[in-house]
Amino acid sequence: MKDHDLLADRMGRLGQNAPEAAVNPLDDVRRGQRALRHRRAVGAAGITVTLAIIGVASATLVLPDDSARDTPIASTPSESTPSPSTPTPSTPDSRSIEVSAAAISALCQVQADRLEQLNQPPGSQPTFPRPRKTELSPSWENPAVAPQLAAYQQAAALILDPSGTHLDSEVSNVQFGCNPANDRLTSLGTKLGWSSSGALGVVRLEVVTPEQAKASQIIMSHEGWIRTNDNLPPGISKAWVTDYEDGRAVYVERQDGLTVAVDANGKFGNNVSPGSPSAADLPTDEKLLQLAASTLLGLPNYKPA
Amino acid sequence: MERDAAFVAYVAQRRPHLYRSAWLLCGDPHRAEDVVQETLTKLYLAWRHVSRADRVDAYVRRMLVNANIDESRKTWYRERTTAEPPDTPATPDSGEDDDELWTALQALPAGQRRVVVLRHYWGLTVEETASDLGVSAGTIKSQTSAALSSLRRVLAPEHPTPRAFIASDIQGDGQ
Repeated sequence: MKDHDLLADRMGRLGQNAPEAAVNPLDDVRRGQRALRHRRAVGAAGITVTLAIIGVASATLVLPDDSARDTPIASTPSESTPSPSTPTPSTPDSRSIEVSAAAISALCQVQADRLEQLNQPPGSQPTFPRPRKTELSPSWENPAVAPQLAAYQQAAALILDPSGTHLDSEVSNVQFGCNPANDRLTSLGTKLGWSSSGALGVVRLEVVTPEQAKASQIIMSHEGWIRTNDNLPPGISKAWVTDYEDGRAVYVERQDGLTVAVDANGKFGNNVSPGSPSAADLPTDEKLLQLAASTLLGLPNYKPA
Repeated sequence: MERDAAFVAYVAQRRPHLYRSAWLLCGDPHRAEDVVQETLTKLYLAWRHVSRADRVDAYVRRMLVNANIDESRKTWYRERTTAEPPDTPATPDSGEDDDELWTALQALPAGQRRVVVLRHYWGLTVEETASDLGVSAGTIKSQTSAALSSLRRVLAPEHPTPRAFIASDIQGDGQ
């Protein structure tokens, strides 16, 4: 008998000698249910805090000056507004939209000011100028990100909802992160409502640079990620998927270096009430992966290393 | 709930095997139970996706190995000397041959022990083991070879029983 067979035989016998553990499988179910409840509670709290911060920022903060608002966008119309009849290409070269460095810098300043304001003691005067009334504008309309966010929506509509039945047709939300050292975007994302059967769900998109990949909100808000190699679209190096009570999510590492996460949730966090129904007809894993591979999901001014 | 029923059916069928695998990996019955509980909790959370893809065992194996690595890093599990003997035997209560294999298995480096458990207890191929552990097939082959070299002495049909000598030596020292 070969060593391998002999060892397998002996290991089988050894395993039979393991101490007996009398455990009820229902205890494992209860532990799982507790973990599920905990995860939902953490996820709901995270969404609430994020929405609160975004609400404060969009109500009180704007671009520091008008010059950034008027910065021309270097991208061509074909890059930012794909034809609805053309299938989204999935090639490794990310179609990140070029904008002026000043526009990105101005946007990043908004974030820095917002953080400064949030960190100030109550009653103290802000150290940055108060925005003028005419400057008030939601961040998702900022010229530094608006074209890229429009591309996100276009890609999501083309791939996830070609019939135009479920997905919001306009962007009304943004999350972004900046590297304060160089005023470059490190992450950009948005949430698009997904309506179905009278219920409102959400599709979240997030594009992150390699150094910030671990800080992705979507990746952090879910557990149970499973590596998948099944029929990955071109341009994806590695992919993970997860499934949870109200939806599913994917994230991928792409050949252009970006990490892209897409989350389809049958319930939009701030609209959830106990017993409320989940939106139906959520996109499949395959569709989410296809969207994550789309070159329209780029990051403004991003250059692969 | 359908999810719970399917999960319970799986656990009822596979838990003993998972526990034995964890016990072989870590060498401690209490820690093995912790590893299995953590693994099954994660499995419950991912159940809908994993069960639909018909890859429950593959998922569980990876979770089990990872959970064992995580547990081994926790400081409270680090070995320490104690005046009291453990309340559970550290080695299987069985024949001397199994006793020796157990001792030799636990003496293997953790990486080699993982390979042995996956290949020779779970019966995985080199490629499957490499995929589970996220390393190359060449690494699995070299670790298997190294592990077999270490274990060959206790696998041989006829071999001296140095453990008996060691035991008597220890007893002699103590008197």
